[in-house]
Amino acid sequence: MLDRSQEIYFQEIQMPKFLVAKTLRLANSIEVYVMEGGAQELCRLDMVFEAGSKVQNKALQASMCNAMLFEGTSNRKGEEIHEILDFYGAYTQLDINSDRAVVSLYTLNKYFDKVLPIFIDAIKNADFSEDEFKVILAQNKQSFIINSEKVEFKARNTFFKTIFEDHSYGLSARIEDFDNIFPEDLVNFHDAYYKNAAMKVYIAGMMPKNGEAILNQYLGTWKLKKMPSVQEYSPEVKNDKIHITKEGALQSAIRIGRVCFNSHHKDYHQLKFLSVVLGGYFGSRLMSNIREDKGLTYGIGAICVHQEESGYFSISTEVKGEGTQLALQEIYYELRRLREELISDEELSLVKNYIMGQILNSADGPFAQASLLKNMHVQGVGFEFYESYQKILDNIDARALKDLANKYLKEEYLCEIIVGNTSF
Amino acid sequence: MINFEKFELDNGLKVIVHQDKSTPIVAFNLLYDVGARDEDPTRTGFAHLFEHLMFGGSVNISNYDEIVEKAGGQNNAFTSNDITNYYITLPKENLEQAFRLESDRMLGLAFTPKSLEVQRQVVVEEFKQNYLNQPYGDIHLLLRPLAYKKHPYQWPTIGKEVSHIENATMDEVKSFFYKHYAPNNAILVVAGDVELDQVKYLSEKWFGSIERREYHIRNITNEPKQTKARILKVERDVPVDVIYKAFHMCARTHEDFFATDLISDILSRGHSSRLNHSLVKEQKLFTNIDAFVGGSMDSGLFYFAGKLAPNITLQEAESGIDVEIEKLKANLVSDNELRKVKNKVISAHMFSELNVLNKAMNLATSELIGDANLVNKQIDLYEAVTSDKILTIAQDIFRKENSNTLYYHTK
Repeated sequence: MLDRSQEIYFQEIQMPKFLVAKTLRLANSIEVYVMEGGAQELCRLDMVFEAGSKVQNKALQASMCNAMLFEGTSNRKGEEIHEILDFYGAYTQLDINSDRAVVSLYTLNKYFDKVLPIFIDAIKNADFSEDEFKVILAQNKQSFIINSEKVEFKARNTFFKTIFEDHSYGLSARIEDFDNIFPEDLVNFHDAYYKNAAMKVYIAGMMPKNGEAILNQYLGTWKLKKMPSVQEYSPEVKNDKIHITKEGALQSAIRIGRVCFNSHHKDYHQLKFLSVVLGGYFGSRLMSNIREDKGLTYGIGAICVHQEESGYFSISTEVKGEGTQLALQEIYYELRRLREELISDEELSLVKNYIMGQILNSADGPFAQASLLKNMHVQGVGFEFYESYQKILDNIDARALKDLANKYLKEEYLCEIIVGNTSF
Repeated sequence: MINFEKFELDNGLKVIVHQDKSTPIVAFNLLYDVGARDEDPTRTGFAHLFEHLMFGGSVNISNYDEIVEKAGGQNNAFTSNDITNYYITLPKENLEQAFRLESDRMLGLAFTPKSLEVQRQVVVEEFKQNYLNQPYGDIHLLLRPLAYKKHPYQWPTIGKEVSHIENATMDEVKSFFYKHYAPNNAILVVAGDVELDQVKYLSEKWFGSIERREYHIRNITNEPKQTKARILKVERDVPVDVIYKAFHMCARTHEDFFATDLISDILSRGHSSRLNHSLVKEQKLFTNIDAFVGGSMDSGLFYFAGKLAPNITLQEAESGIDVEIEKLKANLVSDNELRKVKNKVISAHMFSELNVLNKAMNLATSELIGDANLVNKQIDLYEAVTSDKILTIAQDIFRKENSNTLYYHTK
């Protein structure tokens, strides 16, 4: 008879065998990192530019420039670019954050030679025509206006402004910025950060036949400039409490957190681990307490984020309006527990397994694996990061985590932003 | 091409096994053939509430999530109007944990009052977060009852109203479980570096002893043919006017589905698609507009959804859509354009086969539609669509008396 109540032995989770990146050096010395895997004749090409919002000297410059990369060049109009890419079943993706921009191409290998020239031309020779500019600007302005209605959006922007002060990480667009941005701003930005700039290039999936020759022909002629060096930024730690009332809001958005450091800092991985214990997975302390025990929210999370020049720790949630105060009280209670109690061995090993499983899950399929490796490489910790990560996890211990909580997560080091119901 | 093997246990549980040796994880996907369409009109949102309760402990296991986490797995679930789907991805070495967890939930839940009380509240917060405290969040709460008068697709999975969730009782919850959760109402897919014999053994071991249940026989009223255009105008405190149009179309299981889906691609898949090119870029009537099919198991809806550009009236915007619709009804789609949307579908299909969880979900849904192997036939079915077929379907669907229009005005 099957005993269903008996637990099954948990096998130790092994770090997966990751794809190995091969480096291909093009004629102009651009390095293309090729991560081959999977059985299908298709690939993804990612071009990473140091064109994030932190280097812009005007609001919206970086994001608008990125958004307009497929809207026309001196050689062909936007509609022609889209028509060709669509015809061959290719997909493009634009992604931008404060540090960098990523432009991706997904294509079947049999059409690689047809779509790559178009893709490269679109990025390199983008000409930011007035007409297309107006369309994209109107789109972005409208999403901005709609987002501004959301409590979460307000809380997030206020949070970054508070912890990063005047650093570009703290700046977010304002509505009037949309009237003060022009095509020539994008041309200037494009010149400096795309057209003549250094980049990193990654290919995942299967390398197309003649891929190297095609890459050399279209990418190997791109002129390069040296990457700017990274400026570390560590503003004063603040303790602001900002409560913004939004009439009629059914929920309050809460953000609690502080400025931290990037992934090269000695405490980074431990603090990141601590944030997982607190609010990084379904069974985390915040989720167990505030969602699963009290039912105050649909979700709550804590994260520790690397940024090139800094980094931050943040707790975020949307809770029912009348439960705002209780949620706050419980969040601070959970933070206090991290500072005052040792995490049990059982919980530590649970979280370690969870993290290992997460890495394993992110290794499902060649694209996912390549993304994981690429992110580490872009951060400057190298493709081999995960080979040593097991050791980092093994070395994590409860006493050090408690010390860390006292070093970084005392209430007087944290800012608190609430948008919504503040009547308590 | 996704290779798979299929077998059925004596209790009626269908099991599909797909071997993929290239990935370190296994996807374990369990689909129950129950969704919001199976709900009582006075107790809507139940299928989804139930999905939450499934994580509140089962007969022999109180710590579902903890076991998944210890096993290095990730899990989640979703509910649609048609199905409730649970999945776990985990390292292949720990596969049996998934069998233990899911078979115990199928056997029976713990039904603790605390779990019901908390999950009711959580779902109410989900309702607020996604539908009420969100600009445009209530669109589907408005549009579904406009388009469906008889069929239970008239409410979204979250439910018609918060009170249905708030008033859910334990007895109702239990009866919902025994009505719908049964081995003979489920499809299990295991995909990854696994062997058929291993999955057979584990399925028999863990699910074999669960008895077949007399589950609820679906008895859904078909939506009567719509005979008059319907219009709903609302005013909300939102920054931008929005228009939605929904036309009745065939079911996911109907042979016309593929051609209808291609119509939505012609209209709005990719930047070069018709709506995007003509209405956004050229005429600047919208800042965003989409056309898409719902893809439901019973007769579904073909949607248009657009956000208006500043200073454009809803009438101007709507006539822009109408002109595009008339073109589809009057002229054959060119070979080149048809080739383009087909190419796009083929590549999207190939990209979707890159990870094992996607493959598992596609197999499960295909099996539900009638045959897991549909997953491999899809491309041929899309390839077979002709421009004549597209013309006929466009003429059939896009009739004024078949339309449901929602004007969502700013205050």
